[in-house]
Amino acid sequence: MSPTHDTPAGDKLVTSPDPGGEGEGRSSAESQASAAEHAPTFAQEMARIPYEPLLGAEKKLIVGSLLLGLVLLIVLYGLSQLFFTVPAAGH
Amino acid sequence: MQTAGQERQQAMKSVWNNEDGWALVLGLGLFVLSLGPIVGLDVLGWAVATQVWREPLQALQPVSKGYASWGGSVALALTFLFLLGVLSVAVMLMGGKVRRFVLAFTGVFGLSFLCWWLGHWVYIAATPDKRPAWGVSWSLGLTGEAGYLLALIAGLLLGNLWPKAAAVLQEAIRPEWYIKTAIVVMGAAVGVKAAEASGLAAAILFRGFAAIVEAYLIYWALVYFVARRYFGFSREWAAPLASGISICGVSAAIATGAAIRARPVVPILVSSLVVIFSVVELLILPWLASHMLVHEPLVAAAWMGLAVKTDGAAVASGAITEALVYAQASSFGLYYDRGWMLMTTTTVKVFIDVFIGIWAFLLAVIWTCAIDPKPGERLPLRAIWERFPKFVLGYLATFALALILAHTLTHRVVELKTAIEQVDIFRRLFFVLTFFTIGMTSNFRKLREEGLARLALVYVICLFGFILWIGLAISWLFFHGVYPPIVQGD
Repeated sequence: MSPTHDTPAGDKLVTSPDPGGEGEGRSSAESQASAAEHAPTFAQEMARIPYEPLLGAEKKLIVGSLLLGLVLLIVLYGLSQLFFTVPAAGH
Repeated sequence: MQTAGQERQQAMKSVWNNEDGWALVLGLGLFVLSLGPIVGLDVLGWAVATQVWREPLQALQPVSKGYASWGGSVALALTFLFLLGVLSVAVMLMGGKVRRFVLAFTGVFGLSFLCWWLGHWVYIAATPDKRPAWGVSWSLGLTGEAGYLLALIAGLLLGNLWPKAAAVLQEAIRPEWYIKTAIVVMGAAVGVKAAEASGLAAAILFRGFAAIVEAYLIYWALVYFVARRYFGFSREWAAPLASGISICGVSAAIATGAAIRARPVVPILVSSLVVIFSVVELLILPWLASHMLVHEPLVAAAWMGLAVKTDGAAVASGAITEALVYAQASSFGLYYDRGWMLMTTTTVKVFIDVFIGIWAFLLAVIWTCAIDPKPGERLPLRAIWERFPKFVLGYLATFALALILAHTLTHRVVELKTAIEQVDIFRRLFFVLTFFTIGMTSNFRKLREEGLARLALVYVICLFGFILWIGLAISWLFFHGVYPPIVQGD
């Protein structure tokens, strides 16, 4: 995780510390510690979550993704059996 | 407004300013140095190799016979100083605190290596068939890779029971850096293996790719739906949560958060949970896989790649699963060629990483065009490149170079294998550093934090409710009947 990330719109998002250590490019321990001190708690954030009904676009995304997954499952399995067969163990 | 030149400069700067870019540089550098034997140079032969031991001093020796007279202690000291030097330079160029890193890395390396050495103790490591040769009547039979497990346990204990010590070592607790460097290095060994069994390697690559496409499309949609419909999470929370739980943990949650313009705090809170659960998975799943799938080793390996989140924990799970499965297989006289399971887990994980950028870009398009459109907003294609994990390029480069060398230098196969053996020393060391530091980052006190229950519940339900089992089904579908080559004895 970089100290900053470009959003798709090109804005800079200042990210907080990388709690999992999955960081890519930690700027300094101090800035992380400082950001961590000011990070909202789980309880505060959970309490703030607004109700948002599932939009049509989201339903299409979910259904489309699952359908594409199922279709590709058949296609990719077929391809793996046709073109990527494996030798028997021991060879 | 930035010019194209400024944008290029910024992109280059970002590569040098993060662990991802440095994993690429360090991994490639180690690979190039390891090629010395091909041109008659033994550049890395002094690196310390660890073997199963009964007497403590038997454990260590330089990897190359040319340096045998130097002894294990010198080899260990040189290996430590070499790693400390190159990593410190990288930390300095990334803007980190070098003095703190030097102290912290000394502690992290020392403790990690201690676990690695202990894991090679004959009573822990020797497989049943090797007991007579060692003159022991019993052993756990976990192979030397038990050292990884010990490092994980030590890290967990230190991080959770002695947080002050963990704070001192903080600057060197960089599991993703270590594992990404290890993965780049590992590409070379995989390349040589692929040259030896190209049909099997091609099958693993394609099936790994297929498994990932499936996992992305099915996992993500289901987790997003569950989080939105049954747990009432907003879109801002549900999307990073779906990516974090279903795809690749922290990186995916952060990339998705940026793609849908979530506040930075959202992926970060999700990430803290992902890390904890990835360690839980790392502790449970390899045992489960080794008992359920001892006769289907590559199904087990692919399952680890699909089910365990974060690069470090997933590849670590693959390594443990390989050790457990191979140890069990050897007890009934079946010796699989080492490395194929780990290659499968890594292949699956690398494909996942490749897709993170693409998936984040797709989500950004969907959010921009359909879910949360804003007038005049445009989506630059460079966003895909910016989110693309650069270390994957290193993995592909070492894989391709090793494959080409194995096919072209047929008269220097021995030297090439020596080179791979030398660089693999560093891969193992980076692995053990990963295990130890993963343990240290896993703060189980987080689970007691107020407000976490709702987030943790959706995680637990999705993970144990369907992600693990769909992952297992997909792994079975694509890897059932695919076996590593069998070798004669170990």
